[in-house]
Amino acid sequence: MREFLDLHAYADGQLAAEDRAALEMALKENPELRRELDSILALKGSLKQHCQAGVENPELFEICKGRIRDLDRLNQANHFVGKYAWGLCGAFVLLIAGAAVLNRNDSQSTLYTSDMARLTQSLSPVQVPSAQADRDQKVLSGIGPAQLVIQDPSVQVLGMATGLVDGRRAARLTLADSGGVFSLLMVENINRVEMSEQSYTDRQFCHGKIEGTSCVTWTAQGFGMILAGERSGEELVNLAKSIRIIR
Amino acid sequence: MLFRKANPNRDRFERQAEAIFPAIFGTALRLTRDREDAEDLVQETMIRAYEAFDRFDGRNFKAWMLRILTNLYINRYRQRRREGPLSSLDEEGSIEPVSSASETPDRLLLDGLVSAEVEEALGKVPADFRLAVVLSDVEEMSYDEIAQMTEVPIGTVRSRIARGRAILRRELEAFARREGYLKEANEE
Repeated sequence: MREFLDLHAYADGQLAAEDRAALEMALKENPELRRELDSILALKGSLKQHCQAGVENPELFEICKGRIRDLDRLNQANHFVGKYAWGLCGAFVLLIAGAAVLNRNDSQSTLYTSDMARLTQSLSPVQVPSAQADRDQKVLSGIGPAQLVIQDPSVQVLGMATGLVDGRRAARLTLADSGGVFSLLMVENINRVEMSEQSYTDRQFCHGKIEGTSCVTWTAQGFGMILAGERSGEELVNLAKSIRIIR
Repeated sequence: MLFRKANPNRDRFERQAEAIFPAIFGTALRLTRDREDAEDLVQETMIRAYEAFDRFDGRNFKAWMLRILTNLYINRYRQRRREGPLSSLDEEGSIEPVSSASETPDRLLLDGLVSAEVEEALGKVPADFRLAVVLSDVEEMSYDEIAQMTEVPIGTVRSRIARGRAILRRELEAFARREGYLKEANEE
């Protein structure tokens, strides 16, 4: 049995040198061993001849390459997330915080017409400042650094109240023209005016009602403006168009 | 852009794998005896090898790939197919001679065979013996390499090769008799 195993190892070139010499001696003396070796070598030769070492399959190789590339992409994505996870989380938190601040600022810089009663309560009457008037317009100072320009000479300023509304400078003017009395509320640092009962809007003015009273809202030079009176929407819009803010 | 960077490691692996891919697929076919199983085995081998490529010592890529292939085959495919241990063929049993008891000359037996017949006879050799014979006679691996790949002692490798060849010779002879090659040859 040992001799048979050695014969296979000898045929495969795997027999140790010292065993090889002894086996070669035995092969010379034993024709049965020689015949067995020839059979092993013939079988090895037949296998080598008939079982080509390789079988081509280029399609399978392409599939393997595709899977390797997919694996690479997955690893790279995992690596990226692993490496920059803290940064991504930080950026996400900052994004949320930024959005919250923006949202807060936005809601703080919005004037709600439904809040008008509360807003005007905190204002104190002041003497109407003397207006520079000419043939075409009145220029009214005393509203912080801003000046109110009324480009309709028929409009008279009957009264004025000023004060702080939610930390912002605000003024309420009682105005009158040939059509009657109306009022103007202006609040500084406002970029949007929300009307609860809105009936008409264009790019600049929005018309609606506050507790049944017709009103027009708009923004100008960082002021939120509400003009209210017993007038039609069109008349109020025309009046609003004649009012400008100069900083 | 992030995921389209060149990957020299992958390119190197693919170049080396392409050169020995036919040998890997051929061995997989001879082990599994089923094209679909062989393709699955090769794909799994390629993925495992690529994942471990940074641990490859750079010496013999083909032997390293065949080692992964045979390990996968032994660990997974044989278990799945429930081939189990070779209970009917004791590894410690006596080694039969390769040469025929009926003294059929090798030339008469082997010269008449075609590749498909040899492959079919090889497929009838039990898996462990077939693996050893294929790695030795087709892939020309050393006993040391085969022992490492199959994780058995060199003595077991030697025994499996000898017994595998004896079984293969018997299968070839039986096939030749069935097909009438030997009878015709003997009559000549």
